[in-house]
Amino acid sequence: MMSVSLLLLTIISLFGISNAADEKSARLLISKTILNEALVSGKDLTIHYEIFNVGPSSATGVELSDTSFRISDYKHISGLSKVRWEHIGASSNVSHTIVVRPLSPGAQNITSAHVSYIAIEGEPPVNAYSSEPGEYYIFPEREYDRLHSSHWIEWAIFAAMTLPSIGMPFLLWYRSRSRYVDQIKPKKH
Amino acid sequence: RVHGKSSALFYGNAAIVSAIPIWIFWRVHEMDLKENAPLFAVCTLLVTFLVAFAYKNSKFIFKHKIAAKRDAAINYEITKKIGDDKRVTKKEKEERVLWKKNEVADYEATTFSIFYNNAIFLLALLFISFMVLSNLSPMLNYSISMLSAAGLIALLSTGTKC
Repeated sequence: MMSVSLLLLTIISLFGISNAADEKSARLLISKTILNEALVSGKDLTIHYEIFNVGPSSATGVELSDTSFRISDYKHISGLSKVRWEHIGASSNVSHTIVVRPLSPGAQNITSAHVSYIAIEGEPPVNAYSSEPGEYYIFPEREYDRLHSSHWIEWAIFAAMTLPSIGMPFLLWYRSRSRYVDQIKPKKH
Repeated sequence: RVHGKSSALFYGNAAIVSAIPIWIFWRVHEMDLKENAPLFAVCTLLVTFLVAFAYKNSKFIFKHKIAAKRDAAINYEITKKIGDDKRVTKKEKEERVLWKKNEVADYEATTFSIFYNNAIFLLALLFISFMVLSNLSPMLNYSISMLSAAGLIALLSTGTKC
């Protein structure tokens, strides 16, 4: 009887301790978003990370690592793929942005970034994953330019090229016409 | 010789106006120049013939209209030139007026025909290519819009009124 009660007490205490531990631990939520409206091969792609600490205590030794942009498929333009924050306070957040350039067109699955952090001091690091942007289609540069570029220089050159074909015949006709219309005007008066 | 000169003028102008749109399809529709060279060549040739055809037919229609309009003015001009010269007979004067009227009408009909057909061809081409067929692949867009625009002016030129 005594041993059963002791066992129950131990279990309840452990439960209490773990609850107390949860109350003191940091909890990070990570979002990973693509800031571009369109993903185009050969054009910059901006990825934004935000880490929110929704727990009651600070997270320490926060390490963000994103291996989803392989060197074979993307050129890294700016920002580090591996970042470390020593301390993220309770109810605060940090953000990080990287810029990469897709090297070839096609469908790409952009997966989560990995974060490890110490939720409770003295405890081993906790693993967490960001939101997953998912599947995107990377447009070929030519196709994108065809749809979105204003091409105003090309249009200006086109206008300049067509001007002689339209302007000159009109001018020549108009000159002759004016001459003969003017001829009969004095007669009308 | 005059007929040959007129033909050369028509085919020359037709070739220029048929070739200019290649720039738009190359730089705006992003068609590769080397890859599509055979298509560009064939289409330009066909369109040149259609445009020249339109020029010739339109000129014929315009010439009659212009000749009728210039009658009074040319008569006045010749009369003024002759002045009191008694050596010029009435028949000779009439012949001069007729010759001058033909020359002026021919010149104005040629220039107006080129201007009119070029303007309609280019406007029709841009409208068809960017408003009607914008979702089509560039190669189909080029072929259909060029031949449609050229076909349109050729058809219009065969009417009794231009």
